[in-house]
Amino acid sequence: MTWESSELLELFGALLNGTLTPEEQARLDRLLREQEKARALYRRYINLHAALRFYHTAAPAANLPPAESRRLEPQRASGPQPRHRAKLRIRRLLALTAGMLVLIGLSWIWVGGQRTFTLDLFEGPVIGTLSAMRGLVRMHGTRRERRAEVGMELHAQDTLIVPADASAVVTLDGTIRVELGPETTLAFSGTNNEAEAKSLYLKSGFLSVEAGPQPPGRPLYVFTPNAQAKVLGTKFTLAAAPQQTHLRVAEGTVALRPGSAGPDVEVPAGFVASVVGDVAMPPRPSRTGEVLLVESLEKSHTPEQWRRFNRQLANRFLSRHVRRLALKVVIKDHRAVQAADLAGRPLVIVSVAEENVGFEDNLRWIGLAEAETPVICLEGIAFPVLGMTGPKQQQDFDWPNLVTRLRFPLPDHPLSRRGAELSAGLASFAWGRPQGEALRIAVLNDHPDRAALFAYEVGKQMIGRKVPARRVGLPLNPAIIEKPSLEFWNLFENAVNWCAEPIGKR
Amino acid sequence: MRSRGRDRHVFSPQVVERIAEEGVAEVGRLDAERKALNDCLQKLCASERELLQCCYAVGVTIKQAAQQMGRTPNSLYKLLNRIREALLRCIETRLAEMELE
Repeated sequence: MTWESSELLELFGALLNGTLTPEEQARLDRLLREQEKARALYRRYINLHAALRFYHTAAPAANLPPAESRRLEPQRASGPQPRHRAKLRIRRLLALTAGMLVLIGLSWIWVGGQRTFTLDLFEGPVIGTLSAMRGLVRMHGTRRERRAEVGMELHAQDTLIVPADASAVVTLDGTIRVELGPETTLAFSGTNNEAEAKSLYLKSGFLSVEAGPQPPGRPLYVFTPNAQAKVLGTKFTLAAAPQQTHLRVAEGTVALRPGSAGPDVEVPAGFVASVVGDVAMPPRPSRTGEVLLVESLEKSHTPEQWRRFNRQLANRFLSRHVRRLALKVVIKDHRAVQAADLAGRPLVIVSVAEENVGFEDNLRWIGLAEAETPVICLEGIAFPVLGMTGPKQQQDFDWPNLVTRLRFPLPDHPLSRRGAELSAGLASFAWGRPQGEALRIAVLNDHPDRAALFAYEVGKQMIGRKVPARRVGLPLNPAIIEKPSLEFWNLFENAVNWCAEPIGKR
Repeated sequence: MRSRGRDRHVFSPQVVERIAEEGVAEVGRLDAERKALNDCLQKLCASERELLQCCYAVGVTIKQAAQQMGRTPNSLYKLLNRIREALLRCIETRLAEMELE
């Protein structure tokens, strides 16, 4: 490693040890701001720290490799020195004897057929059960990887891998229910020792946890690559992505802490908190519960329509980004959605849809326009139903194949956050022409009345009614639906956070 | 004696966002890193492993760990840094080897 990385490592060490001076802090901030390599090294260092924390706090006995006396650095000398040769010979003899004893022992086990004993040698204690699953879930144990099955016991050091379009439910200790969302990897640890804490390691993905009151001194810890959550008895959702952890608490209180130590942040019910990188953001009020994503998956009949959507892919992306914010998502086809499905939701998302399949009629029938539930609408043809724009395509909404730039006339609004990055480049945007007291967050540079992102605040005037709950229009351009940019997802996540914020509780 | 206690709010928002956004591309590497770390931990000597165990145990401060081990906190910080650096180098080497395997 170069002198530059040596300096960085020294600074990272001081950061973790809590001994960074203000001058060093400024220097480190500058290096990280200016150098991509420094940021990459920082991520490696923090990942290592998080993994060490997991090894030593989550599974002290189970994860540590057997004690040996080998050094990390290779020996400089090319071979053993003569005065050590006699010692080495004795060690080799002892090692050979030990090896033979092990072989004899294994043969005895083999002949005796004590299979359970051989299993217990390798597997950690049972710490839970896989109580339900959907799709092809895999279990990676200490010795093998195999398909998971309902009812199977989970041991310390096992890892469940849930792919896209799958989910799983795990029961721990009879008091904790953990639901794993799609694209989730969760490792288990713990021992039979009742004095030790139970712990999970959410490497990536989404968890929904319901934990009854935990025995005194035995809280449940959930670790992520950059944070830890201490659970005493509560209901919450947790999402982990590289360098980002989001926690949303529905009942009780959870203590969240950045992975590199630092003070606990108490997150009470009805609040969301995040750890970004190494920084714990202060908790803010949030709705909780399951987000409803309304989809339309009818088959398209023309090449043009096919090009317009890869709707299934879009829905997968959309739900992934909602889960990243620690909100659970349920996807329903518009033909199956009932009015009762809207009640108690933190948010409804109207996904991209096919034309002439009754999509607008179904939204009208369930009373989405009047619902006191926040709505993000990504489909232009649904804007008129919701009273967000007039009814005419090309005049009130459209998705043209023209490239343009965006402008953000309300830069301080939370929905404009990180929008500046989007205004720098040319791209093709779908748009709507909102009316009433709409907030035009992102407008086309040459058509300020056309908005690529707009919103209605509660109680303000929209078409035909006062706004019953927050509404956001963020039309997804069919031309870019297969590869929406990072900037689009930033805006989408802004919209989800804004809508999930309860009104009147600040 | 320089000290900022345990206040970790040290980076500017731009730095935090860049670190987070660039990290998205590295998801696939985490598993390999963990495997490499397993190998590297096995190469630590018993005293280094004991030191990690003491310093990373839940609820134990460096001061307490130092007291327990009969060292000063400063010497423990230095040792910890050295072990982390060695592990980091070892992981890089192991990852490169794993790519060749």
